[in-house]
Amino acid sequence: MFGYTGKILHVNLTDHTLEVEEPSEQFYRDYVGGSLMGLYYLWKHTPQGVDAFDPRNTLALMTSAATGLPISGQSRCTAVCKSPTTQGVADSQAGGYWPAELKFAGFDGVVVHGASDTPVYLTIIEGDAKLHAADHLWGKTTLEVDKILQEELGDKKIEIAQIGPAGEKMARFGAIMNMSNRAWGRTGTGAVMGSKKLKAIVVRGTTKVQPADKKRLQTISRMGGKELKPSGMAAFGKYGTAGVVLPQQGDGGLPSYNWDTGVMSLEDAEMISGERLYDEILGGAADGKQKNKGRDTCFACTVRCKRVVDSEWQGNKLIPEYGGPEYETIATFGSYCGISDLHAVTYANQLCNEYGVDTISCGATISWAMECYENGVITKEETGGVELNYGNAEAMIEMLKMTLNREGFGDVLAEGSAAAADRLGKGHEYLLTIKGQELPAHMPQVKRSLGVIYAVNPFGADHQSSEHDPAYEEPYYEGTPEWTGYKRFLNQIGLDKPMHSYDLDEEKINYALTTQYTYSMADTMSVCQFVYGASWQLFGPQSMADLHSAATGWEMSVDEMQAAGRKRLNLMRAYNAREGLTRDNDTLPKKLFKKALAGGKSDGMVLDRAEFEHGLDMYYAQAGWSADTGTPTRATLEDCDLGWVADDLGL
Amino acid sequence: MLTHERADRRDRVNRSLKKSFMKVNIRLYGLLRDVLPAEKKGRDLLDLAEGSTVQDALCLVGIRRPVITAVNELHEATLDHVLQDGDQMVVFIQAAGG
Repeated sequence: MFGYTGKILHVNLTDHTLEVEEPSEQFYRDYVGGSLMGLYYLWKHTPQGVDAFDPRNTLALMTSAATGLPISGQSRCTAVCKSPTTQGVADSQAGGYWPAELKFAGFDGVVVHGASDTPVYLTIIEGDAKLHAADHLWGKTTLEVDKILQEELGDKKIEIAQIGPAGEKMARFGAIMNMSNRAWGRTGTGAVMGSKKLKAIVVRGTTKVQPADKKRLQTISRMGGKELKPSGMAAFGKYGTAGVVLPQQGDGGLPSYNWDTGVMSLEDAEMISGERLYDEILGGAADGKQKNKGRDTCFACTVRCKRVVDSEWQGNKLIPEYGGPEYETIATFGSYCGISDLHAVTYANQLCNEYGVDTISCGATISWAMECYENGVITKEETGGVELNYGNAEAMIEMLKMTLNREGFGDVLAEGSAAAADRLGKGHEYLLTIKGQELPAHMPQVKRSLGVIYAVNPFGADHQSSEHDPAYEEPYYEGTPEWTGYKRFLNQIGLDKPMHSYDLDEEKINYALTTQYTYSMADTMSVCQFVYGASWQLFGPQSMADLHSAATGWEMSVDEMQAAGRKRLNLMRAYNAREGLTRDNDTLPKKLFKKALAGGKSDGMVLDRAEFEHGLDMYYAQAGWSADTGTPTRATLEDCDLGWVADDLGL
Repeated sequence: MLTHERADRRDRVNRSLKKSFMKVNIRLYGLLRDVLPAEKKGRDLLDLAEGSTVQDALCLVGIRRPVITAVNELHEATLDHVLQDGDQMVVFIQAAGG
């Protein structure tokens, strides 16, 4: 086989045994890689109904055929397990160098079974895997562990995926980290790794990945180089995802004050913008050398969108290795909390990376607590004296530290906002969660199909599971003589009827579902959704299919690629059905239907329950899922070559 | 033409221009900042003829792609919105995701 290593490492932490599996070529053709392959192992190895922290929960880390090839946006890896936040499937992706290095070390993926009695770490070096005691690493922060292991193993080029102290303490939004700043952030995979007492997975290798068609790969790569500037991806690299803050403000879609409004004041939004991050906080900002000192990248990627900071907040150094905040982090710790102190937000990002947590859920949980506090639902006595008012950056940082250490009221917040509300028996009216997980920072009020995707997505509300509505709006879809619009990629997947972001009809649902399949395939091929996608990215659907074909030598059409994305989505949904989730879990927070937004372009907007439920009905019909249960029908599963799943479910 | 006559004519033209021109503050974000010199960081004071629209201002700075514009407290200004002296105009690119 080309592209793949042909090997999966199975690690049993209960009896400390290791086994190498060499799956058949047919298996690789059927399950491709990344998320889809991880789901297969989750289904087969995790008994129905076990708790996420039960040793029998299976944690799979999977790459794919293109991972490690010399082209932008391929060094990604998916973590899959049962989620402690959603009680359904957990699914999260991270980039960096670790995914490529795992391939160089000789494996396409790692499947972790059981749980150890004592802390351990795993090394996979040049094809050789070993377990080691990790008592000396337990309790250490991510950068400390990076340094200790580099010294201990005598190699500065090792790549480390690890949990921080928060994952060890099973904070439900615990993340798995690599490079101390790249996170498998969402759905609590780090908490599951912590429950297994697996501190880290170290990889190192020198065996290059062999593509089937090197020339074709080079052709795709060169095309990406030419498109970097015209596509707008050069500017994306310059300002990073943080560059989205002000466009969101302009659109009335910057969630602020725990989603009471879609705007801050323009001055406040400017204070937390990607432009300000670039001008004042990135490395090299003092002498205009951000390009060299303030940006970082993943293996072989020319976009270079990651941030490197060099500044301080109230005497606390902002350490370059912990990276800079992404848009989501700036929103949750910034606008959600009414905070315009970007240095404080950057410090919050650093603390999250140090302790290893999902910045979205963590920041959103604090903003939920702030709304409770503002309304007298949570008192100063309960918070231990912390005045959790909107805009209080010092209080935000203090409560974050308490949460990361599970101290005082922070121990309640470490459960996430939904579980915290249950534990306290109050504050439910201010929750912004779906399936127990906090919403990311894109607003269904101004992106109507995204609201449906938030509700139906198997691992909770996700902003990276479909194309957002504005890309299908006329001026952006069409483009101008001077600027290429989004139709060139959308047309490749049959989308050619643009409409307004506030519309929600059959065609808009078709748009959402079709692009959901594309994004689903990106997570299956393990490629970055900022580089490969359906509208604004560097590469479109055809290039994605071409990349997989060039890597494997197995010709894949765009239709076949879409079908693989559909297969992953249906397997996830079937898994959730197996674990007891139904249509009842496919809803949006009540607050979005009750409270109209105040101010900005979205002033007065509130979601309509009937329109949303009709959107769900249209979605289930188009997806081939039961309107009553939200479960894929047997016919749909068989159409996805998942008849065995229908058998398992007794459909 | 004598030197003092040229100066007099220049002053008259300038007075006339001053009368019919207005100042508009513009703020550009993201990749749009690059249409102005880097040191301006996306901010500029534009001289526009009275009666100029948002579209005229965009043309003057060289923006020809779809954008979101807002003027003063108005949260979305159309391209044919007529600007006034002292207005503050902000220009955002649309973000599909991220």
